[in-house]
Amino acid sequence: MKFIWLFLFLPFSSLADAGFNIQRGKAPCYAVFTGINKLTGFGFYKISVNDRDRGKLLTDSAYRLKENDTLKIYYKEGRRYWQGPIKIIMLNKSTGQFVDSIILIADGNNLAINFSGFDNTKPKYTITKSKAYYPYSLYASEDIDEAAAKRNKYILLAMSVTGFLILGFMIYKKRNNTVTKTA
Amino acid sequence: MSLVLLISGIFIIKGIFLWIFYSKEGWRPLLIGLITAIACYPLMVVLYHDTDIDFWLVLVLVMVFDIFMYNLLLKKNIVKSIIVSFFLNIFAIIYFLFGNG
Repeated sequence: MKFIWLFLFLPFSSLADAGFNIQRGKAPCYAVFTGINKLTGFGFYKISVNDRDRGKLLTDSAYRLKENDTLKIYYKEGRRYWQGPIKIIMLNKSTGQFVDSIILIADGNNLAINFSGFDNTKPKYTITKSKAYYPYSLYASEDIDEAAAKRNKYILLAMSVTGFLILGFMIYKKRNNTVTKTA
Repeated sequence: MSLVLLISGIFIIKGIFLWIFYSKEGWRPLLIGLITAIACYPLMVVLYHDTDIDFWLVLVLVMVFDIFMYNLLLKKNIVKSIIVSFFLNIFAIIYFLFGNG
């Protein structure tokens, strides 16, 4: 009976999964498209597959990609975090048929999609990944680029290590003082 | 939330709480509040944004860590350390989540 008060915490345990793990800001991820100008016979369209536009098909308002276009594939909008995925579909302009598609998933990486030519009726492309960094800032008005984000992350970790070392030193000093007084 | 704003806010919360509960220890509670803020919270920012670690677990670990620090560095009173650590870290984590989203 004396442990009955523990049941008071049960309603709070239901918050555990809905609490800290949702709406965590992650590194914004981008997909950059190059080489589109080489494939003049093809059109490239972006479709977002997410909670809002699930199953949305190509319409007249679908976004057409241009050379060096940069798309966000993981980003924040209000208090929602979109992971995509984003689907790129390729249209053969002469036949009017869709010939291929790519699904882009961020997974913490920036993607560079380079279209290098075409093979039979399908465009050839390569996808290279580079790690995306969360824009950690040291002060409010700081301009954050990728190099600054990476540097700031290491500064945060170094500060933590320094703090733990100082605490360790303070504990050591207190124990030494206690031993000296006892002696 | 910028690092300066985070550390300032956590220091104010921790320093004030510790100073109220450990008023006989002089300026030491403020120093301990500042050092524990610098040790724990920058690491928590990185864990929050770069990993998927459960933050309830992180909160419990920070509370336990603070209990040991207050008991060792301020005053040997485990019950007082538990009470202070619990309430102090609840307010601190609310501030942390408010700023980091």
